[in-house]
Amino acid sequence: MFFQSDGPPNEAELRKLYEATAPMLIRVAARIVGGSEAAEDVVHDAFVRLVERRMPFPSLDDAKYWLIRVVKNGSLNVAKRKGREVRAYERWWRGEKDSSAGSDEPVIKAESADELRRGLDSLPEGLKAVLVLKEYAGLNYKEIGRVLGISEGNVKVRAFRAREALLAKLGEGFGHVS
Amino acid sequence: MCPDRQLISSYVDGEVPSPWKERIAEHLASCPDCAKAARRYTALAGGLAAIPGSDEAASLTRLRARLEPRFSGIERRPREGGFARGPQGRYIVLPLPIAAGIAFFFLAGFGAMLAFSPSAMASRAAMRSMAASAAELQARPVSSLEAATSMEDLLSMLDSQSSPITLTIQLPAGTTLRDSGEPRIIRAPARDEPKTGLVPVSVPAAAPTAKAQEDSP
Repeated sequence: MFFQSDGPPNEAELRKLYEATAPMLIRVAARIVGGSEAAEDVVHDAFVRLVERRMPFPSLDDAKYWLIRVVKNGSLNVAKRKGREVRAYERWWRGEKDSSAGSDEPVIKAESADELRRGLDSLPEGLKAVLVLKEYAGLNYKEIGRVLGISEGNVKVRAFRAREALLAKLGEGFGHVS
Repeated sequence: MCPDRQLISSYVDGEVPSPWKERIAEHLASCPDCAKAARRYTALAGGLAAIPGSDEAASLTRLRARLEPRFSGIERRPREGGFARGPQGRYIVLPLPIAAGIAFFFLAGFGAMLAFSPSAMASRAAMRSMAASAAELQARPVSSLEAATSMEDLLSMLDSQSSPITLTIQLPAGTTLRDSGEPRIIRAPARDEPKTGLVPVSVPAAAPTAKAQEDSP
């Protein structure tokens, strides 16, 4: 779909693909690169590559997974280029900052959200990619495995390890219900 | 007996099928430790979702405007053209207009040097300089085989490389270049035109002037 021999692209199909994927792709890219302009560039370049190479896809889903993979790789490259450092925090989340004492749900404060974001950035790429695709692209394990080219079992393990790595840095107070 | 924490993680993700899903739910209702683990995973997901993001709507609007010409086929890049060769025989494909454009800039620079330094010695110096410039054109190694079909693609790909690469640019076989007219200035500021901040260049009246190609690729 999208392209017929050497003719012009199928506009309707390309727009449908864009409408179906662009919001999610922007979210994924923005979460990894940390800025809207860079995220737009990554997503833009992915679509341009699809159009210019006249990529043949048997279905919209195949195109979607290809785009997610390209955006993921492009975003990680940009983040790497920005020179983000892997930093370890001993404690990010302190129980005394948790204003949810007395409420049923833990609350994320601004400074903690920033620390959480930095923590996500500091994850190894393999773990970060799985968590971002799970939490921001809304993909299930099977779909994430398809994008990353790994097994569903591998996705499950990475999701678990990513969560544990982040939680280890947030401290015991995270998610506490008083 | 408590389930593995990894299983609780999968359960929170909705990835555990029945009947195991129901059994885990039953266990969580009676096991404080496992329930706490599940709450932490759920809270983490909520925390990640709550991280303030950029203005998504604005991004989508800008992105759509940039991509619209591509979708409608207005902007198309030709796939055939010159190619650049990296190490181990890996190739970067450049469209002919880009390869020709790169060659043109080398030649135009060379021509400009000749135009303003007409002596034979200056010509030889210019040729040595151009040769040195060409030899110094060090690009970074191509880490993966990709076909860049536009300058944008190529620059983006080169930008993504983290180490130096060697790039050799070859024009397609059979491409010939020819002299085209005498160099001349397309436009120069008139004496009474408001100054734009550009530095005027004085050219000897007898010396040939440089010409900018009008038929750009």
